[in-house]
Amino acid sequence: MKKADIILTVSLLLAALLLGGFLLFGREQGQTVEVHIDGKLYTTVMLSQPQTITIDEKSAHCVIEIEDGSVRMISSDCPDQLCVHQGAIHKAGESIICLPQRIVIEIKGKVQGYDILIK
Amino acid sequence: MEKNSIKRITTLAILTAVALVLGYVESLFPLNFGVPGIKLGLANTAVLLAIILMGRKEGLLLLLAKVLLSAVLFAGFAGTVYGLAGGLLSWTVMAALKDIKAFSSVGISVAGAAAHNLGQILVAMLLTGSTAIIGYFPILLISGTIAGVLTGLIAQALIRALKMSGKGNNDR
Repeated sequence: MKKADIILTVSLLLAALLLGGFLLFGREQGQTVEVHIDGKLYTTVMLSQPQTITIDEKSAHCVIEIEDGSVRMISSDCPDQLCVHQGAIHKAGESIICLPQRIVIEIKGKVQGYDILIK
Repeated sequence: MEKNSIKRITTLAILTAVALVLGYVESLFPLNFGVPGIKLGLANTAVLLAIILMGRKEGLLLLLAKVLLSAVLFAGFAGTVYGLAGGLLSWTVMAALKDIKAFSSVGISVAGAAAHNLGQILVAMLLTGSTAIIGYFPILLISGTIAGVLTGLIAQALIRALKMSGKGNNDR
């Protein structure tokens, strides 16, 4: 290994940690939950409203639960079950992704820039 | 060159077979760290070897043959798209760094692994139509960098052994 190899390796690891830290912290409680299937918006619901969403589309089968201001995947028809094992999320910008079925559950925060909009 | 081309084709065929088997064996033992796409990338060692010992073009040929053959044999559609995008990006970076003397094969391998991860993330963004997947990138990048060091060290040991035994392609 040469010096440049070590510098490259260490900077890549640092960049990953910085990006990871930025994504993990610096986030607040989310407001709404968006469910995307195959790149298209399927539904948007409030994170504060406990409910169970059952998705039964031709390429996507899963059950999503919203409870105590957080959302989780209860069951999914995918082989790896990574989305189910991920558990509950609640911060704006966090997401549960089921890659095999192309389902994305994404938490959105407040609309940036306005406290309230009056017309 | 005529004599050489037979040697090149044979070496390339052997390396392709090695890459294919390594990729297949790896797919049998998925590393489960809660994020899809984490793997050792042993097949990348073969691509790296081809680039360093034979040349950029040979590395690309090997990569394309490997992706095509895995697609037919076991990878499936999504796996093929990820493999192709990651592989092409990784090849581009490794080919670019090949002649930079400051880097050994470990540095080239690490850069290639990071590029591979970036390719995977970009394809995942396209397939899911969401940028949320970027959350996987830090973990993927850390595991990819570590895997890149390991496969780079393997490639380095192999290159030394091949040169010592005189079986390596010495005309470069």
